[in-house]
Amino acid sequence: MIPKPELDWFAILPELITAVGAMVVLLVGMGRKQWNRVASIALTSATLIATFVFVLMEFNVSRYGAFAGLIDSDELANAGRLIAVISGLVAVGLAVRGRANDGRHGEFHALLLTAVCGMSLFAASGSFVSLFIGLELFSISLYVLCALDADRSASLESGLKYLIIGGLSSAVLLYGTALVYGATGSFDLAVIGDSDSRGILLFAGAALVLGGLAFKIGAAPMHWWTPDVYEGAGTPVTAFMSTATKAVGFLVLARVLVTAFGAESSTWVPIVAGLAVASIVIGNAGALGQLHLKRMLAYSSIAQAGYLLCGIVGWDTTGIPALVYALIVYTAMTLGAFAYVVVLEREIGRDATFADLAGRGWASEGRSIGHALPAFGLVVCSLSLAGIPPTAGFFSKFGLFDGAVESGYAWLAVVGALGSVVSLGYYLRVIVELYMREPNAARAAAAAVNLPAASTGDHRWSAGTQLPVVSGLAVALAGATLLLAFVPNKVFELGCDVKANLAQRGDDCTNVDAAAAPGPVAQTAPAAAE
Amino acid sequence: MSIEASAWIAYLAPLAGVLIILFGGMKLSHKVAGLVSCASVLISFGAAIATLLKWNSLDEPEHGVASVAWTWLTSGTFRIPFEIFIDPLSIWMLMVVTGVGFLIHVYSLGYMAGDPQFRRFMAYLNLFIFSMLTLVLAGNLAFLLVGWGLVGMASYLLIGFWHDRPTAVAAAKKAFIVNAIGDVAIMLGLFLIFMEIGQVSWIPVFELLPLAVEENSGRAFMICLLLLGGALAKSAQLPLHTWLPDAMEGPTPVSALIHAATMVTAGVYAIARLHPIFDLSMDAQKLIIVLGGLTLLMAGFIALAQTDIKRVIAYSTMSQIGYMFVAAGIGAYGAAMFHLATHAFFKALLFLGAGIVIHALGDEQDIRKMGGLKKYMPKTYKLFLVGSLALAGIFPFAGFFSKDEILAFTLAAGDVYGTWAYVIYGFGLLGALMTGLYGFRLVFLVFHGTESPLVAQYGRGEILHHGHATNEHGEAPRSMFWPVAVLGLLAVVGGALAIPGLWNVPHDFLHGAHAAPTREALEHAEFSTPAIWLFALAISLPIAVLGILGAWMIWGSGKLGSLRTRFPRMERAGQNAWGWDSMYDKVFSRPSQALATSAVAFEDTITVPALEEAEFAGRDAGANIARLQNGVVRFYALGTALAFLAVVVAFIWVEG
Repeated sequence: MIPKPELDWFAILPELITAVGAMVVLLVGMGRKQWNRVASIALTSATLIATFVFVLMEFNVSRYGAFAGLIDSDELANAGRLIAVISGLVAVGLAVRGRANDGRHGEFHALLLTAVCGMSLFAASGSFVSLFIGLELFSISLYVLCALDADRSASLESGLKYLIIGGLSSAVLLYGTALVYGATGSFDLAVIGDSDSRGILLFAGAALVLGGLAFKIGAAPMHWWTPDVYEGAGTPVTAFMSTATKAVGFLVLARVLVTAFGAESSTWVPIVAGLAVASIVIGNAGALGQLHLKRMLAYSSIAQAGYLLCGIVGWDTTGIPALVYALIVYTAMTLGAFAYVVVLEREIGRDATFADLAGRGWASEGRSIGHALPAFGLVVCSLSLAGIPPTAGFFSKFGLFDGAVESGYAWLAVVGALGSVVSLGYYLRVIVELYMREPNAARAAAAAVNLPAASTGDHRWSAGTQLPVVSGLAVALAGATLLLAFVPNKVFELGCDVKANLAQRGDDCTNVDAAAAPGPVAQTAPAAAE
Repeated sequence: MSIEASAWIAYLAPLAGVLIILFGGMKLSHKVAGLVSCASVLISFGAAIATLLKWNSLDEPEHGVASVAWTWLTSGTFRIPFEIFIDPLSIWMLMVVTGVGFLIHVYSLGYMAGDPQFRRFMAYLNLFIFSMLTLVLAGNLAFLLVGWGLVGMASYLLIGFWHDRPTAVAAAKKAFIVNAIGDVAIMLGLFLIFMEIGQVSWIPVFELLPLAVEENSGRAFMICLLLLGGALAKSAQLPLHTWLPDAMEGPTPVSALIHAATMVTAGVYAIARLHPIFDLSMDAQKLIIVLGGLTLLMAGFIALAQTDIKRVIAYSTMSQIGYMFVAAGIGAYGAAMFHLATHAFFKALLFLGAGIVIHALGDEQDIRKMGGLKKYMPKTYKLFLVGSLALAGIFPFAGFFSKDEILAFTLAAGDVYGTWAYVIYGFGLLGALMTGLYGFRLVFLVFHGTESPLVAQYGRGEILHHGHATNEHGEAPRSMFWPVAVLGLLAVVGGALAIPGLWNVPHDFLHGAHAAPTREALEHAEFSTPAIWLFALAISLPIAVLGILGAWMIWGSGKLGSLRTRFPRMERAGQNAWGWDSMYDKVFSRPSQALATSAVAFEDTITVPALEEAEFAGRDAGANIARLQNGVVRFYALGTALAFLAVVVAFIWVEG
């Protein structure tokens, strides 16, 4: 007889909240009146904020093995949930369309919530079954979100490409799980980790799982979909997709690799390092020649995935805390950069190129400080993406490379540093255009030849109209990027908890240990605290 | 309110002032900006007084209170907290910086009135106060370095404030570069300390370093030497002193605030703060004493021959800081801090008085064009006279007590360091003579003697400043006058803080393990008694009087004839500042320019073409990758599938 599994509803409360919210928003959003639109924005924000508050309250509560081992809700899961919720909130803000009403607000917000729900489940999954359900839930939502601007062919193309290639990789991931099940007889990550089964079946399965997850985080050489999909999708969707998906993808990748395949780490660490190198090389080289801001950011996100993979390479030393910090920083700076892209697209009424940035950094006649400040936000985010102090991007990159070095992959850090040098070629170009070029309408128009209409999700938006919420988000996210540089320690402590999660209920964190250990130095140090 | 809270308020108030003026921008009128700026420093000063009172009311006198705002970075046992450290030494500096700083802020309201960039100036002044407070309140090595860098930056901004004057820009650059040498030195020193013990906060550093580094070892000397390099540059001591005279290009309040009262004394503060480290190396102590002694003498000689009123005072500052270095070197930290405070009073007084003169004469700084100003500026004359008497060390003015305490300790130091230390005492006496000479040279040349054409012009109200005659409202606007008067009062009574045989406030206040007023060896030296102090006073007072009399004979009555005819070589050398600039030019500047020229040639012929090749290669690679991205979805699917295959193959290959 099958025992009745213990149902700990609190373990999936964030998913429940977002799922219920999605259904309500879908109903409310059916109407095409102005109040329906406002109500769906308000309800979506309220749902996300409620989820945020709950996750924050329960942050340090670990509930392992809920729902017969399907759910492992812990700090790692909660970190992923928080990032997904924040990205979702920002996407809602970026997509606020003023009074224009295209009737798709219901779909947009409901799908956003189901995507957050899927990511949340994905991050909290303790078994390949729930992992796959979460993955599909958010992937399918994203396929539709990408194609949501159905009257814009680029958007449709983007959704279709993502669907086909995403379907392929989901199948591969599923096939990998099947192989792993064949080798170990379980879908449960912890059980797989404890089993002593080894052999070609397990390795092939692990390889396919790794590949499928690498696809989701946009690492090379599974990166083929990224530039086209990022470019075609509406910018708020791209912003959401490039941050939330990547963040939960990395956290789950860490969980799967360490918890389920920890014994095989000597095998997968070099492969992850190889993926990191490929991502750094392809992302940075590809971004160099781009004219299009969104496409540049797409390649840049491939390169960033490469840096983030260094954290996984250093998982056994300090890589995981660094990874958690880097994911949070990455989310803030990438969202900030995309927020400015939305600002720009709204102003010019079409997709933004580098040439469109010219001269926008200055406040001059006709351009108040309200125009110049968001542009400065883009500068902060670009510098942070390039890893220049005192922005948070410097500390995050430092932590990631440090983790790789500690784990004996110094050469990988060298590759990463060289890649960062190359990346200056396109990140600094943003500053050059903003401050050192005269605005030249003809040049911008020439560069924009053959560009489709704006992908802000609404090409009927008249050029020149701005919403304070969007420029406000651009500034606030840049501010967050700067502030994060002052509190790396707080986030690193959180990362230590996450690392402890990976060992499942274990308590293993170099930082915590060192601080608690009564070494010769620590014994004399307390005098300083007085 | 706890002592931590008041110290944090004192620390952060000037920063708030900067931010308000920065974000207020053009919306703030000049008046409001000036008010915000002064008010923030006044709040800071009030909080500093509160901190002082709180400290005195602590039941159990501790070493110091470290207040951690948050931990900035942790890695293993390595922690960098963002912390301030409150102990008598930092409170002493806090009082001097905010107190004198506030007076100079108020003075600036009048001095800079009408300048179109007034707001920027006040914001910079506030930024400087904040930076200086970072330096003196820093609770660990890392934040000391932050403060060290910040004051350098604020000083750079203020020296080059009139950035349309090429000389001001050049002076700002020079100050920045010389200070950068010091910054690098002190940074390397901090790295060495960190390498030895892996801690950065004061108390662990002071407790662990003596255990880790052997006394008088090469390592200890190396650490001290590097730290000293930073101190020498900041405090304009030999051989890193050349930037200070040029820094007089900045507005006069800047000279008074940064280049007399506060920043240039940072080196003295650093030696006192880090004294448990300097205690480890006898050689480093000797080096400090010798460099301080040489500087005080050399700067005195140069001051005698300079003709720019501000440069004379600048060399005098250098000389007085030389005294402080001697005191810090022999371990008389209390005496050094005492002289630091009184010097801040009378030197700021002299600078601000000079500022009134310069302002009145339409930005003229050449003392040869002045003379007979006493008739038109009786109040300024009196205050300037008070400042000069205090500088010369005449009883009962402030400099008398503080400088002679240093000289007394120098006598006692002979007991610790050997007979050569008496030579330094001799230097100090000779320096005292010089002080009387150059100090009263200014008084006689500027205020006495026959009326120069320029001064007569001023008397007739023909010198205009922003469309008004400079003598329209008496000698100076009220906002400029009363800060000078307060400083004058302090220069008269400041010395009463320590009266030999009766009390010694700085000494008692600085008592505590980590802010010791004197090094132990010196404390037990044979000559460390009030009697010696009185003895030293009895010798140096006549010498100072002799200096003033000499000045009268040379520049007042002219009985001795001019310096130029009697000592032409000394005069010329002094005017060239003993040739340090041209020497540095020959030894460092020219060779490095030659190196730079050849580097440019190398770059043009080799680096640039090579980089261009690399750039083309990079762009080609990028273009190829972009070309692969052909938009055909089946091609993408194939690529992705191949990638999966590659991972599987790699897995099996690595495993096998």
